[in-house]
Amino acid sequence: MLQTNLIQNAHADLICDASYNFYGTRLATGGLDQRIKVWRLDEQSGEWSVEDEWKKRAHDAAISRLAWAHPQHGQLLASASFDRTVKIWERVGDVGTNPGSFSGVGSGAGASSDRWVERALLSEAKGSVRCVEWAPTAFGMKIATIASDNHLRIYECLESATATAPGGSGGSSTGLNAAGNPSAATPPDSVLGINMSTPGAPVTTPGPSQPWALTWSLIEDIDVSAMPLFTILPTTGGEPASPAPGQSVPLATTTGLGGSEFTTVSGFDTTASVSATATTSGGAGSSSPFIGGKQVLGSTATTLTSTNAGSGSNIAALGNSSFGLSSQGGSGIPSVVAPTGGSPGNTVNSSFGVLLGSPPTTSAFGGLGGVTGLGNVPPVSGSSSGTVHTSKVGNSTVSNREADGGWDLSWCKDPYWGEVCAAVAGGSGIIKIIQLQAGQRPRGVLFLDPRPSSSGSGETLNSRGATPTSTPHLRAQQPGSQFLSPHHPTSAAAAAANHSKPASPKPSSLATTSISWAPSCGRSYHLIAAGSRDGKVRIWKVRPPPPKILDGEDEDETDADADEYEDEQRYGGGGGPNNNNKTSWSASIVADFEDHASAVGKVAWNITGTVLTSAGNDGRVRLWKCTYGNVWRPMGSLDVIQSDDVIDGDRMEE
Amino acid sequence: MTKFNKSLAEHRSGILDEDLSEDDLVWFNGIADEYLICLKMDKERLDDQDPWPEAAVAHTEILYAIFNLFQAMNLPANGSLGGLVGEELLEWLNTNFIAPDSTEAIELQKLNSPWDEDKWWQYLIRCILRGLTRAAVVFLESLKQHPSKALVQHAETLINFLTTHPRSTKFTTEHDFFSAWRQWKARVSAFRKRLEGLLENENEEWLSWVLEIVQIMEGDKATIKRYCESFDEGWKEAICVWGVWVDVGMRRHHIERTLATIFQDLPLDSTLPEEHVFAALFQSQVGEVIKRSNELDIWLAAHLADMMQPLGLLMDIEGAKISLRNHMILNYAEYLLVDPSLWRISALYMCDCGEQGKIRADEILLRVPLNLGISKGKQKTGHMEIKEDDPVDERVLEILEICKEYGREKVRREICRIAGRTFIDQGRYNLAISYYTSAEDWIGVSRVVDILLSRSLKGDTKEFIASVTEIAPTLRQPSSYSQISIRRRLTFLIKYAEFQTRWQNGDLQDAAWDLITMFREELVPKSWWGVLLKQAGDMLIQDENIMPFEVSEVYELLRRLEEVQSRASQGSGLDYLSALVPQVSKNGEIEALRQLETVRLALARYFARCSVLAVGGRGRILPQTA
Repeated sequence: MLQTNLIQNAHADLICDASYNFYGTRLATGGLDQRIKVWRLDEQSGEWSVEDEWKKRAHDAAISRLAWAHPQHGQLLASASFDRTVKIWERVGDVGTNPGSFSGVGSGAGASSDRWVERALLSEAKGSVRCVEWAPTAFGMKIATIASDNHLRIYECLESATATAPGGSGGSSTGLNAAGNPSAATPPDSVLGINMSTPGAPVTTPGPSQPWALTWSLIEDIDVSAMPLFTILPTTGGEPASPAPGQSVPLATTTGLGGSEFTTVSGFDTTASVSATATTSGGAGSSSPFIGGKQVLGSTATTLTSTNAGSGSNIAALGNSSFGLSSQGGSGIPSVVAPTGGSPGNTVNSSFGVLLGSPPTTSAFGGLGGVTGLGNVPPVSGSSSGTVHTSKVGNSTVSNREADGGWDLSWCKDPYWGEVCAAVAGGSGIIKIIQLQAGQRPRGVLFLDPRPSSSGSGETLNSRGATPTSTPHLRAQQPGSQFLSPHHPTSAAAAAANHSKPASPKPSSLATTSISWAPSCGRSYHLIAAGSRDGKVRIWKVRPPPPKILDGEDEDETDADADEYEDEQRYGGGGGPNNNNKTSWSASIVADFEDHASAVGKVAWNITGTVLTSAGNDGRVRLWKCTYGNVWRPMGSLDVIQSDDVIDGDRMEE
Repeated sequence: MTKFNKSLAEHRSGILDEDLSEDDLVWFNGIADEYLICLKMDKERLDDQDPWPEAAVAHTEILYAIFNLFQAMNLPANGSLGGLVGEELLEWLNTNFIAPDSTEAIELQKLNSPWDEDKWWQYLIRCILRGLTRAAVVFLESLKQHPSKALVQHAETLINFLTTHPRSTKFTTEHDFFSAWRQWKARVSAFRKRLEGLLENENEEWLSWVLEIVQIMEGDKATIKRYCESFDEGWKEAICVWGVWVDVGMRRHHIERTLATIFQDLPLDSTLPEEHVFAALFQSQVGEVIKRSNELDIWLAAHLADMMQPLGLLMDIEGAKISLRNHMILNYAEYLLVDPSLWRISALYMCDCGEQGKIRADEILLRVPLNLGISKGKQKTGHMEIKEDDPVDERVLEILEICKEYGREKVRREICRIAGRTFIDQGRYNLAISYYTSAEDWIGVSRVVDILLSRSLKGDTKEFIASVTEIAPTLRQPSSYSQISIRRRLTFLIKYAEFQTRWQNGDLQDAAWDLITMFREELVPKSWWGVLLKQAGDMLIQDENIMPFEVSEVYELLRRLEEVQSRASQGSGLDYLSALVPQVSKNGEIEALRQLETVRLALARYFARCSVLAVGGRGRILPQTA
């Protein structure tokens, strides 16, 4: 692999996320400086240069995630932030549109470059928004967001394609106000403006030159932590028909924790580097670039990760939190992170990860003193300073601090299966696969639990009154419901384990920091990759119900898959030899790597779902690939600081 | 090399289900030849480079040798897999590992008494081993100058042996070959025994060399192995000469066993990946071939697998969802994308890998940057240089062409939708309509229609007319749209543009006719009634001398006006006025209604004039002549 480019001093502060557009020709970056920049690839020279730059702050707190819309929706960019909002931006001003004519909207939004206009402000979240992702285009213009309040929110944009809306020039603001969204018209710098907006109120803005109006409305608001597992079949025996409430790790207390703490970290090298795989079959597209730095945190579609370099900084000072600005009583209490032991290596685990919910965080908060250090954190509105709750989950202690949690979501890319989204929220690390159906309540069709089955029985099993020992890998006791633990003795996992290094030091949290649903590309199963704070990269093979269930096809057509189903059911179906379990989703773990040996910040698939990229606090971006024998193997890795790389070879096993 | 893949796919599709005939093998042999030609050209290209890329050249040579061996082992030129293999292997060896060096021969022949040099004898022996009869005979001829008459005589005998050595390629039946060979070998054995007798009495150095030569001719395994060991090619040299000198009846299925005995004395160099590939090919261990090739070169593995599949050599893993061949080809296709400009080739490879490959190709095709409207070589940061009237970027046409060729209709439509959206942003509405139509995205088409109509309201009527005129003539035929709503929308757009054109040209009467027709055919969207009524009013007062409407048409307009006003009084005014409201300066609907009042007045006055003048219809009021 070659590093093809290094963007020096991309931002004035740490970069939190970097996101490629659909073609990999543009890169949006956002960070602690609350600004967004868009970089453009010169396809001839391969150089990246800044194309657009937000002159004002895009958000009132650090930007956590950026996501480009499918180009058939135009040039739209969604940004999520720790200021609890998501904004939708549109690039205007190409030929055929007059940038000047939208200055009303643009300046009203106030946080835009000349060409990027704020089109919507979504402010329903009660905590920092950690992820925003556009739904597959087949479902229209939709985005899903997840915030630290554990809520998965789905917004839909409806175009009222009438000639009623005014054209671009003149009078556009009438259209905007007519839609009746106060927040859109509020000066952006006002925090009040954000909080004032009515939750769920549609946000309407006119298109630039378009005579149609875009209306964003909240169509689903799901508390992921409290989401029960949906059961298809009637239960047997005396078990309750519906799962007991609170089966998931009770992280509800984190609601209202808000963003806590922090901002600038001194001494960090705010550099982004872009590199492309040049030898192995790395990502798709020219540039499967990685943005480098010691802490590797962001990533998007074409195996891209972003990060921030921290070289040799031993002391990270937490200045007054930009987040605090939006919280009442946020008087900007400075908090200081203690030296992390003097070793440059240790500083990797510094405070930045706290923001992103990725690295081990005990050292980041209030020094090495552990959770008590949180006292330094400015209280957030509505929550007391005593926001740290710990609960025993099996053998491991799970802290309910926001800093220990992980929030992420990923859409199923294949529209065939309907609107399905994987989400993870809080500290439990359980990935919940949620099916969204028009006119029906969203339902959790499959839960993937990364906790070791021996230790993680915790509340889940107990709350369901199940016997923890009878089926150790199985969390769901009802037929048709799946609640899986990865620690199955599958051959693939066992083979994968051969490549894993010895276990890393005991993790502080089991939270899943990043999930990514692979494009299925014609495969009959799905792959979901998960990176977690305990340093593991896992790949789940998820199998949807056979098509006959959905389509009512003849059974004959799916007989070929039957064996495989039974194989899956041994791990996933539970409930004994019940063939009817074929009617539901099932999963098994096919890879479990510990190579990062420190918290994993981000996992991402290439566009064909054949190569997984993971970035960890060990400062390396690692690539994983499946052999013909269905064994996942390391394919190579690169060091984001040194730019040197190690190719493990494109191995193939028969 | 992709061009072969297609024909290969076509050919094998017809033969996959049956056993391969000899003709098929010959055909595949031709395909392998094509690959070899490509590799040769590649090597020549590398040879021309300065500085000479030594490693790359060596790598290409290895690839050539491997592919060539695959051909020799699996695709005999005569199509007979059961035939004798010795000559084919020897030919492979002589093609790919050229030895001995001819310059060395020239040097040696310059010597006065070359037979004094060990090198000379070794050279001679290697020529004989490799079946290079002509070179060997030339060397032996020079022995005639030797002072020893005995040796001169022996040289004669050896030349005779070499020139009469039965080679399987020279015989039409194996029976003839074997009997000739047995007779020949009996003569060699007899001569060897004589020599051995001589060796007991004489102590000439040349005698032992001659004996070695005769032992090789007789197929003495130990001697041949000993010599092969001293050569670079080692075990490869041994196995390739084996079928000519030792086991002339060697067939392909014997090789594995023979090689096992050779390996006992001449082990392979396990540090070189190509050695493993060679060995696996000789031993017909297909899985090992693919695995080791993959370590050596991803192109090689993919194309070997591609050739092996139709030959029935590949065994897929049980339960595998994808064939090994497809897996390797897809791997290679993805690897190609390291250079994004190779997307075409990558997509073509993927499209040849069944449905799953095609779906992967979809993803690749979808993500080729369309670069619409960006002139080549002028991509500057922050500035998109748009060429006016630039033909659509060739790239998008090329992608769409590939999609069509492989029946990727879904992707073709998606790309069209993306292009349509981009053209909207760029203001190239005619192209946007074309692409949305091609994608059968009616929402997209109506979106463009809406934009165009709204532009007409912004005052730049000329631009609006120009934009509509630019729409491709075929698309301007509303009948080309199956969807009625789209048809009506587009018809309205075209008619409205015609109306505006006539009005702009001062052709008031025809413009009025257009306007009335639009109303009568119910083409006007309700939201546009206000606008058109307002424009009718403007026409009425434009030129007092022209009477654009007939009385019945005035009735029609009044009726429509009445409907708007009565609905407005019921609170539904915006249904009719929404296009007009943004045009008026202030007060929105109220002002719009006020303006329509003036239209009503104009209509009333016009009606009155019609009655008084008894015109009864449109026409120009001529100044009364005295």
